[in-house]
Amino acid sequence: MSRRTVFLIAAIIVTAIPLAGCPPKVVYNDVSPDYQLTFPEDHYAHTGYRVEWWYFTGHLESESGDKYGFELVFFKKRSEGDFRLGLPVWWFQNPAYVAHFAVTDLSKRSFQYSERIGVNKPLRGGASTDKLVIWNEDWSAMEMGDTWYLNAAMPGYAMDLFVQSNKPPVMHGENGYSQKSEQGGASYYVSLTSLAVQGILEVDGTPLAVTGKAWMDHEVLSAEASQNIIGWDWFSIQLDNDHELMLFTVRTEDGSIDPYSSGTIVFPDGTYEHFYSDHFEIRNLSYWTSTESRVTYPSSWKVSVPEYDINLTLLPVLGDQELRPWMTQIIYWEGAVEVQGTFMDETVTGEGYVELSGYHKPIRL
Amino acid sequence: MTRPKVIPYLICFLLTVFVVSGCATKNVVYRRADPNTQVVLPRDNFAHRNYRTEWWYFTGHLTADNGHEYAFEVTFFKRRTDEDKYRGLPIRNYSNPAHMAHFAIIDETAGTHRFEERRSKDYINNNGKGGTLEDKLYLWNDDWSLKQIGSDWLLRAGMKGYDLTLMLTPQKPPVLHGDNGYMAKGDQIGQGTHYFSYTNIRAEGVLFVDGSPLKVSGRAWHDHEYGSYQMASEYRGWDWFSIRLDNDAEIMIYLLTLKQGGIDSTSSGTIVPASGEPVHLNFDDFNVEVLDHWTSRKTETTYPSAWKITIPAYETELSVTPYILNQEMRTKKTLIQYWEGSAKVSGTYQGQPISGKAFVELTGYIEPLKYLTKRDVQEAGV
Repeated sequence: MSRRTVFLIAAIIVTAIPLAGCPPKVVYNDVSPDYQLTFPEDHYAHTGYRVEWWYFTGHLESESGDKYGFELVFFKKRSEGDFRLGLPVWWFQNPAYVAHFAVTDLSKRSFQYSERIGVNKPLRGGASTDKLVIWNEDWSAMEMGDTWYLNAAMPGYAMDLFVQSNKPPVMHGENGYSQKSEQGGASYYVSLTSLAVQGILEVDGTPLAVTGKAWMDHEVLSAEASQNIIGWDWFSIQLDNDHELMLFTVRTEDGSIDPYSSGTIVFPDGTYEHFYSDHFEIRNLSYWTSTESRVTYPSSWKVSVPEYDINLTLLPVLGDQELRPWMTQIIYWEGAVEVQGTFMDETVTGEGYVELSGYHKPIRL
Repeated sequence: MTRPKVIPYLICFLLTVFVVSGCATKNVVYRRADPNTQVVLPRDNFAHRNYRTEWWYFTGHLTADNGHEYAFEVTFFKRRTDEDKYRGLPIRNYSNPAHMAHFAIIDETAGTHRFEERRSKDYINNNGKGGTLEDKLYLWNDDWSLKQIGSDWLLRAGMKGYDLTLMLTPQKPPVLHGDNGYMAKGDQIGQGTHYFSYTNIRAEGVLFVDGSPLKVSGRAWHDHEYGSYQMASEYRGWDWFSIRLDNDAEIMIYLLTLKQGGIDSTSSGTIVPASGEPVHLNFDDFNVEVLDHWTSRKTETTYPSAWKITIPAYETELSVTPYILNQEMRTKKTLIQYWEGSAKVSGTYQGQPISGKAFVELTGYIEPLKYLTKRDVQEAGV
C-alpha cells in the first residue's frame, strides 16, 4: 500500500467517524391492516418501506435423477444507520441491495452459497416498482410474460429457471397483513406456494435439464420487531397431495413462542386458511451444531395441525445448510427438508424449506 | 524489469510456431452439405462437428414499456479453423473450432445502432468460454448464451449500455429452405448449406438500457445454417431478407450476388403463410429491385439501402426501408464485416395492404468473403 493510499483511507475514516454518527432521520411508511394488496402490482418493489425481500426456494431434479435444493433471495433495505466493514452503508447505497444464493447438492452431499451486495457494474442492484424485475449484479428475477425467470451463479453452479405459478398468490395473516408479535410489528406477506419449475442447472460446467417445484415469499415491512424477539423458525411445506403449509414461530427472549406466530394452509384449488399458533405445534426432535460458527440449531421437527389432522416429520436433506455470507454479516440456517407423515389419516410425503434465524445472535432487521 | 526474461521464451515460442505452421496442412475432409442428407429436427438445431462453418442467427423486433421500438441481432458462429491463418499464424493452434458471436441493438425510436462482438477460445470441456453442444441447443460465448429450457429458448446478451434477456417461444414449426433444407449455392457437390428457420417466435423479456430495466415483447426469427464449402468462387456474397408481416405471414429471400455484378439464378426464397405449408420460391418467382444506396463513411463501402420486392404469383409488392442507414457491423476481432439491419416493410400481400418488419443482411460488399475460394476447396481435397 502506498503512502498516498494510506493517507486517503485515513482521511476517509477520520471524516466518516463524525458524519456516521448522525444518519438522516427518515419516516417510513407503516404497514397497515387496511391496505388492500393487488396483483401483479404488489409483487413489484415498494417505496417508502424500510425492508423488503423476495425469497425463492425450491427442489430440482435432473433427467438422470440427481436432486438439488436452491435458495435465491433478494433483499432491499433502507440503509440509514447501517454499517458494513465500519463504513456507513447509506453513503454508498440507499436502499441497499443484497442477495444470497445457495445450492444443496444431494448427489455430492454438499451445500454451497454465495452473496451479492449490488456494487459491481454494470447493473449493480435494484428492484423495479412497475414490473417484476429484481436484480443484483449478475443475478436476477424477471417476469417474461406470465413466466418468471430466475438466474444466479457461483463457482460450480449456474442456474437458469423458468417458473410459473399453479395457484394465485396467498396473502398470509389478515389479507396479507401479517402481525409478528403481541407488541405489534407486521409485514405485508405474500407467497406463491406452488411454482412449476423448468430450467437448467450447470454443475461444474455441465448443463443439466431440471424440473421441480418452487416457492416464493415476498415481505414488506418497516417496524423493527420488538426488543424481546430473538428470531424466527419458518417452514414452507409442499405436499405431494397438492396442499401447502406455511408456518412461522417467533421466538422471544424468555424462551417462549409469541402467540402471534401463525400459519396458512393452501388447498389444491388455491383457496387457503390462516391460523394462529394455538392451532399448530412444532416440536424440535434433534439439534445440530455448526463446526464453523458453533451455533446450535434445531435439526428435525414434528409438525402437527390438529384441525386438519396433519402430522408431519421434517428432516433436513443435509445437516449443514448454514449460510455465513461474510459481507452481509448474518448467519442463519436455511435448508431443504424432506417431509413424511399423515394428512387426514392418509400417508403423505413432500418437500420443504426451513429457515432458522437469530440463533447466532438476536436478529435485528 | 521482467522483460528480458520474457524475450527468450517468446522467441522459442515463435520459432516453434513457425516450424509447426510450416508443416503441410493436414488434408481435412469436412462433411459436405448434401441434398440427400435429410435435416432432422430438433437434432439438427444442435451443433454439428464436421462442417466447416455453422451459425445460429437470432433477430427480432421488440416494443418496450417506455414506448420505444427496438430491434436486435444475436449471432453465434462456429468455425473449423484447420486451414485458417491470422497474420500468417495458424488459428487452429489457438482455437479449433473457433467460436464467435455478434450482438447488435437498434433503437428504432432514437435512431441508434450499437454492436459488440465476442471471440472466445474454445476449450475441450464444456466450461470453456465459448462453445456449443451436440446433444442440446446450448450455445455460449463469454457472457452471451442461448439455452433451450423445455420448449422455450433463453437468450442473453449484454454490451455497454444494454443487457437483453429474452424468453423465445417458437409459434410455428421450423421451415426447411431450398430443397428440403438444402440450399444450393453453386453447381458443384458441396456448394450449398443446410438451412432452416424458425420464422415466427414470440419474444418476451427484459432489456436493461443504461442500467434501467424495460419490459419488452415482440417477435423474433431464428436462422441456422451449416456447410463446408458454401459458395462457388464467382459469388461475392449474399443479400438476405427475413420479412415478418403483421398478418403472421413470413418471407425469406436469399440473393446470391456475383463478383461480376448481378444476381445468380440459384437465388431463392420461401413464403411461410399465416397458416399452412411453406412454399419455395425460385429465382423467377420474385424480383428484388434496389431503390437506393448508402455509403459508409467508415469503410467507404456502398450498400443497397432500399428495396422493392415483388412476388407476382402472390400479388405481393413490398417496399423494404431500413430504420437507420448505418447498421454496418464492423467487427474488429472476428473480422466479419457486413451490414445487418432492421427495416420497415409496407405494401401489399395477396392483394391486401400490409405492413411488417424485416431484417436485411448484406455480405461481400466490403470484400468478397475470402474463405470461400476455389483454392480452399482444392486444398481440402473436396
